[in-house]
Amino acid sequence: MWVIRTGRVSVFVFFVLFAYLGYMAMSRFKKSRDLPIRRLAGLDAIDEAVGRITEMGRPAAFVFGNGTLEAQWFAAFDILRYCSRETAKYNADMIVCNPLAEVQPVVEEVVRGAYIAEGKPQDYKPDNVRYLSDTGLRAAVLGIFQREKVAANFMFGNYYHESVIFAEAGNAVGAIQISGTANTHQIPFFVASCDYTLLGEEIFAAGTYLSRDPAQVGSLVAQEYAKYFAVIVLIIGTIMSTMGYKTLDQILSR
Amino acid sequence: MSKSFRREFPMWVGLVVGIVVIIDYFFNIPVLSILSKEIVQWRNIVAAFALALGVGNLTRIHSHAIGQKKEYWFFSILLLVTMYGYIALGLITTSKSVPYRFFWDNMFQPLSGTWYSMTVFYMTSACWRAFRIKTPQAAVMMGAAVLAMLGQVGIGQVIWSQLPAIKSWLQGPPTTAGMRGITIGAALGMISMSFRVILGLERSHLGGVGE
Amino acid sequence: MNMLKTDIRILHAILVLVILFPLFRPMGLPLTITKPVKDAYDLVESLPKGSIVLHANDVAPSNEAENWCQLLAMVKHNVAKGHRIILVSTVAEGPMYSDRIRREVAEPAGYVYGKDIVVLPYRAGNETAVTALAEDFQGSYRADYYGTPSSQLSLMQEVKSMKDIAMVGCWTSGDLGLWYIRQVEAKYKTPTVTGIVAVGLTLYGPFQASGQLKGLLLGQAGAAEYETLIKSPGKGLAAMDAQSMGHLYMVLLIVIANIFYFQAKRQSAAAAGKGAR
Repeated sequence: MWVIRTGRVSVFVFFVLFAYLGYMAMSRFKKSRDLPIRRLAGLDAIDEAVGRITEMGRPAAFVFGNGTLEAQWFAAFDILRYCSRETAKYNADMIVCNPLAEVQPVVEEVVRGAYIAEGKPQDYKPDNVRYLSDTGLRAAVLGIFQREKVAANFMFGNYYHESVIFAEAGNAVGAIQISGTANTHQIPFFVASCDYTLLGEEIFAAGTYLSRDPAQVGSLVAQEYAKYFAVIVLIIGTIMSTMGYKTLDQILSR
Repeated sequence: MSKSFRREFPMWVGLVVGIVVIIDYFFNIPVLSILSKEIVQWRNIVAAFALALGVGNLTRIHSHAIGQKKEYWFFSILLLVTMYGYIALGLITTSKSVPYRFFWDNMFQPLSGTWYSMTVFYMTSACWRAFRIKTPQAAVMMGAAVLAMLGQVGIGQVIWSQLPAIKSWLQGPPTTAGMRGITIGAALGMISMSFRVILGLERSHLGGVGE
Repeated sequence: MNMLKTDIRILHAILVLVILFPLFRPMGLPLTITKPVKDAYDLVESLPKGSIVLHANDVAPSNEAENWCQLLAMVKHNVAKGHRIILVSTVAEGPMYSDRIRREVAEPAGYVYGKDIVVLPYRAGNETAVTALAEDFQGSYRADYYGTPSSQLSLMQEVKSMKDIAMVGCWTSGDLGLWYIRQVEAKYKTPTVTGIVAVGLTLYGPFQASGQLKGLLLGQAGAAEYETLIKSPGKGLAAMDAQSMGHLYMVLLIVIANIFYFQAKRQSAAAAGKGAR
């Protein structure tokens, strides 16, 4: 018999509810044109940044974080695709700095696909999509910033301490800097050093925001409702724990 | 290989693998458990082989730079010689051999450590340039940062004996509460993103034409 | 003169002097032992002799200054208490440091390799490697770092599952501790402590506050506190004075830069006011 593993029943219930909400929201927004996403200044600024690099005749840099492959990378691919399409549209250059070998083919394909989508496959330069290894990323990126004098610096993904290094290096060459990470320990550095920053979950909404795809908006709506649910459970749980009742604890640990 | 196959096949692989691993996480089904374990092992093997992809990319870019005598092309020669030389050394003598350990202990480790130490200079630059009190929220953030930085080390206790206790409190309720909020939001975002990737609604990583 | 346009290299030079000075003339600044570090120490103290401890060693040159000091201090404590140690790693450099643990700490204390300590090889895959290890420990490691089959290592034969591990220590600058919390602590309730770089508080603080982590060592200060508790001064303690002066310098830079910033703002507002009149 299919038995739910111990300690995962409540998570399974949440998972099913989340999937159901997502499906309902996707169905609703497929028919509707009214897509409720608030403005994300950082993503709007990408167009401004691309305009700047075109005027100045200097390239942009898109730098992935040095962390492991997980959901933030997929969010960064969305933004990379958009940035690539914009730079292709305006015949600008963008140097993509990738520290992770296993996504190198994906990154190349995303950038190449963007150029093809803009009808400029001949403008795609494979040498602009660089695998730099995780140990060599810092030195390589600093060298690229100094040699190429980048005018815009896009930093998205799973960042660690290299966030402050790249932000300061970008500032030293006068680049406009747009960043985003879900790593709580690096958000303060980005907020302090960059012109625009996407905080935490905003980077996961980036693809939806940029593409305005109704199905993706549906999953975003489900995410919002899940957050409301989490807040309600938090409040109820806090009150019950304070009063000494362990019922909710027991339910959630099943 | 047609373009649609290149986009659809990885999507289907992702769907099947994602569903197997998710079902195995929740349900105790022996067949799926075995399959899920195998998938996890395969992922580890793919990750190891991906290093070879990285070597290929570096070789291509730097060979191109050498061939075209681009600026600083001699550094490209140095990179390729070092990379292949160290790979060969490891393959021939193993990573426990004396020459391998010599280069590791006396070159790679100190150079890497030096590079990471450079962070402090960028922090200095950030402290001087970037950490400006432009809004009331920034003032609160700076105040907390100063208290935490001084409370973390011995000099803080010399300046004011209560600083370590204040730092501990700051690292407790306010920081934990704030970080929990962001972490929960980010975790839900990751779940949503993972759903979209597994179900094929998120296709940016598949590249391709006509987006 | 606009002080905010000072050449940054001057500030860097002052920083170097500020950090070097205490290294040559130690100042003996006090050190407060924090509760998360004390909790980690108490956990190790509570484990009986012969307990098997798993150290997930993701020390690399990038985090060596902080995590290596932490790991060394805890392993010295384990060795003093007679615990048996298994070292695993999900970064390529990790086994090199594990080998140093064996050579510099365990074997000089009389530990027999294979019976009291085992060094396992690097496993790629990050969290999936931890999942594999948690679900099938012996299947994940058929041989140790030196190529010896696990069947010939008595310590490996004793670990059938994570339930046989008395404590897990995670030494990292990244998410390693979270992987072990999710895949080991949550499933098998194995007590877990983490040593993380100083900024990792925001990542691991909630887990330490909720009790999922039984102890947390933060940065070099955490290592220094642990060295103080085990009465074995090491690199952590040696660097604390320099770290103190570095922190003080950074704080002064922030304060002074903001003073100049507000001054410049007032001057330009006054100049704009004069121009308008």
